[in-house]
Amino acid sequence: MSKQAKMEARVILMTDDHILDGCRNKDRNSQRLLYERYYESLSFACYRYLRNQELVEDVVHEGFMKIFKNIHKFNGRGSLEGWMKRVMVNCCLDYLRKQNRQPRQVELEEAGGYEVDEDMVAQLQANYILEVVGQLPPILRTVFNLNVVEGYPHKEIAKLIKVKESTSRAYLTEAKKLIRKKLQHSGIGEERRVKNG
Amino acid sequence: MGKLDDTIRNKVLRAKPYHPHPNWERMEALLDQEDDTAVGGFWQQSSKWLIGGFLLLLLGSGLGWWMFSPQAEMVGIQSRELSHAEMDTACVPADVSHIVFPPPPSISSTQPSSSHISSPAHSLPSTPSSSTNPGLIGRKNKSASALYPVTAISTTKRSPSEHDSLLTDQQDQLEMSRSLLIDEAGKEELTTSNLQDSRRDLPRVQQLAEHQFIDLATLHPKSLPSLAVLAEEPKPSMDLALEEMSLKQRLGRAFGSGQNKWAQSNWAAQGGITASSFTLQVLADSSLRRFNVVMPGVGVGVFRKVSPRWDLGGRVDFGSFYKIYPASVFIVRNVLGQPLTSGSGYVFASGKAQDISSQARFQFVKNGYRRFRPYWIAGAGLHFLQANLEGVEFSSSYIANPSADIHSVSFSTFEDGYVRNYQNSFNTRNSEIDTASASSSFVLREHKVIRGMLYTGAGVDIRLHRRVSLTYQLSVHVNVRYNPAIEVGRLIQEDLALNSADSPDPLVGQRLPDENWTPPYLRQFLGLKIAL
Repeated sequence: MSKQAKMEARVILMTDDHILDGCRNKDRNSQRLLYERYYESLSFACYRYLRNQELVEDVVHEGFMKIFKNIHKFNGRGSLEGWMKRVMVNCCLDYLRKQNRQPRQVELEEAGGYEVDEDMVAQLQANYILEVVGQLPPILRTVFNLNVVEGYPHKEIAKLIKVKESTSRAYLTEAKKLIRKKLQHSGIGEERRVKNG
Repeated sequence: MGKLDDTIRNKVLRAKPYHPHPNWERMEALLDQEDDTAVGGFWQQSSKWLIGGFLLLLLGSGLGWWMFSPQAEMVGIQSRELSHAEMDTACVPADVSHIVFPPPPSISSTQPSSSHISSPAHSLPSTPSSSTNPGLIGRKNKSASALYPVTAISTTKRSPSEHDSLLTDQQDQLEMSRSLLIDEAGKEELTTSNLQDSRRDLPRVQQLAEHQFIDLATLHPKSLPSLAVLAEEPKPSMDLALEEMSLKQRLGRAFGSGQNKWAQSNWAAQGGITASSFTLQVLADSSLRRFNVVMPGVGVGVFRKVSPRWDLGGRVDFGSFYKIYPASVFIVRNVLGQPLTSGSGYVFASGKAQDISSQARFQFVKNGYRRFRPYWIAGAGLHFLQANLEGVEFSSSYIANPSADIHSVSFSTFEDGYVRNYQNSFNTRNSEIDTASASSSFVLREHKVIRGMLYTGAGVDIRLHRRVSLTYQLSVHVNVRYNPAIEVGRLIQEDLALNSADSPDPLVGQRLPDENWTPPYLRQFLGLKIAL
């Protein structure tokens, strides 16, 4: 069995608990297993906020550093992946805050009457939806991702992005309206439909 | 809308916009960098504490090694008082009659000078086969359990001539004691080879005995079996040093301090009287004069033996002095502040001092049975001085000019390097006899200082009893003044403020060249030292 195969077998056999224990003991192999196991999902989570592969790579590594450094703070109540995703999201928000790419104000339009066929949306490719969401202004995209995708309540979102809770709700409404608008303007062409099966 | 949100959420979570490439090498490099930074930061932040801790650890380890090293332990062991019963049970077989010794003919064959030793063992037949192991001293029944434990001795190769010279001095003692034991036992059995083996290491026995402060001449006969154990055939062993230590300890137990004329102890207390001779600087008649003052006191201390030659300990000395000296300048002034005349007064000065110090003693003589044991001592500590000129009685008389109007009498003094000037108003005048007498009683400023102190000296312990020694010590003490500039400056300012108007004394308010330096003083100590 080659070295790579042994490594893969080990990755499969080891549970998160084993890896967690190793990471708590600063075992480098366990750290590597954790890194390789969750790198992809965490990178995509960061990508939803940053929309830049190189940037995502930097932030993900920074996030893993925080994860390894604070792994002992994980109490095991929730899932390890959820905890790590929160760490990554915080890293992304910190980055956006530092880069001042988080606009403090967004001109909110009145809620329009854009209607979207939900069945048609379900047939869209995931990457296309992600692209539509990514085209939102950063603050709206952030609020939408935090609330709709990650499931953060507005109260927590307000704390994270340091706005009022009502503002967070308004941002979300605006984000949804823009998404519907983009979906309607772009049209749901045949080429973007996903054939069943 | 909720369904749309869920749809979008699921789509977003399933989206794979690109193919990420985990780069573990980069991650590992970051982790390594973090570890280095963490370690570096830790060292940077904690360097002072770590260095201090390391030095303390080093010091403690050294002290611990010094105090609990085999050498120090050996000194402690030999100081242990053992009763005869304890000696019997611990070291000597219950039935000493079973102990057998080498026959003396071999001694006389190699040492003609010892031929005068008469022993009933001469007539006893030697039994070469009675001891199969030349390193063991057997009993009659020859059982292994009845044999003394064998202890190997670290062998130092000596030339035959050295052996002979050492044996010449030591064999008499051994034989004398052995004959005493033989008288008690009435018989002896041992081979000639055993004695030869014993004699081979006899110089070593003597060395160990000397190292243990044991006078072989005072040995109890029951201790001889241990000597015989010492005289075993040296066998090559991996743990020669350890076994030698064991042997030393057994020697100490076997001989015990009960047989030692001079008791040795790790701890000792010391107490006695002191006489410190120091120089008091005073200003008399506008000139600096020095007076020698002897300050009697008492001193107590405690020592811990850390090696045969070195003692560490602490010490507290307390002393006080009273001195009357013609130190003051008596100045009579008129109303204009002009000096009419001057004279000298007497100052009654008192003071007390307390020294707390730690010290180390090095004894020039290691052997404990010496009566005179000179030593060198050095120490450092704190010197608390409270020099009071309070209650100074100043009295003088002056045949005044009738036309003069005496207004004030002042005097100045100089104490311990500081300029003191105190002024008092005129007290009495008898115009009819044209005599002005001035008497004053006033309180001067208390002078309290805390200074560092270094001292060194020499002394001698004179053994009076097993545990009691008379100690005489002479030491030279130097005080290191703490922050002198501030203290002196403040005092001089106050003095100048007091005397700026009418002080004709040019020395008042001036710093003297030696005011930052206190002359060293001598201290003699005479007391008793008791081994605890």
